[in-house]
Amino acid sequence: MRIVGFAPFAVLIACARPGAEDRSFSVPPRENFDAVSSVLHARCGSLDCHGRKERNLSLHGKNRLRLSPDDRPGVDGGVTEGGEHDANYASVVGLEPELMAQVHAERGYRPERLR
Amino acid sequence: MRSGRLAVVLLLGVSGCFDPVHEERVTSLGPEAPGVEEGELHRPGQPCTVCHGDKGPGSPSFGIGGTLFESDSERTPLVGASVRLIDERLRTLVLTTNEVGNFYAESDEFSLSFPLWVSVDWGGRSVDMLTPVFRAASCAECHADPAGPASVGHVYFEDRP
Repeated sequence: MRIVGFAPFAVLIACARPGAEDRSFSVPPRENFDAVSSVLHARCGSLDCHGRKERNLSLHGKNRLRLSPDDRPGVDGGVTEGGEHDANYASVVGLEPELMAQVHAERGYRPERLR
Repeated sequence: MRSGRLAVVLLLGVSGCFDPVHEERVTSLGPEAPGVEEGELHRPGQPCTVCHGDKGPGSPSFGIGGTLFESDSERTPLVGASVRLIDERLRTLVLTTNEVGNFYAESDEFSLSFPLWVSVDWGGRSVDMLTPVFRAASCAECHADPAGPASVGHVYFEDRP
């Protein structure tokens, strides 16, 4: 009987949505992020690691996952588009926004918290 | 009441084993090609370890596997090529492609650790893969056809106009 009584409650928890209220975080500015984006893309963005759309931290760039459906990875002479840097920025600051804001507010103290 | 609890436990156990993402990936590969039976010549160019991985349903389980083609413009299999895999400890494993370009190592004979550097020897020439393999056990996880924003297309040995 206790189990039966618990079941509807469990279903309600499973279906509950997080609060819809807007929240804002003070994260590092987009300005000057292109250089960071290029390093992240080159070091972490291979197609079998963070160069996958399924990853929470998903990275785009010229030799890896592309943002535009018309672009191809690894094409000689390709360039990382501005939109790809924008997407990388959104991915980085959106992964753990609370932690990112905390580290940013403390001027980069203990950045290992972002790992 | 005891049987009710047992049913709940069994239900949790069954639901815990079912992986809908994996099932969808297996299903998305489609049926066997007409006239080709299951075996080492089937499904060239597909991601081997989707089925031949820990979650099945293929058997045996592979540590690594893939398919090589002669050129980027067509899907002629690269037959009899040596695929040289070197891991971070400089341990080497050499595999040979079969009649359809497939190569693989079963899990119990694959002891390399990622990342892997890959080179292919064929016809007296050698070609290195430009980037290491960090974790994909199937070539086609990154080298699926057709090429697209998330795939570079099938693995090929040489450019041909």
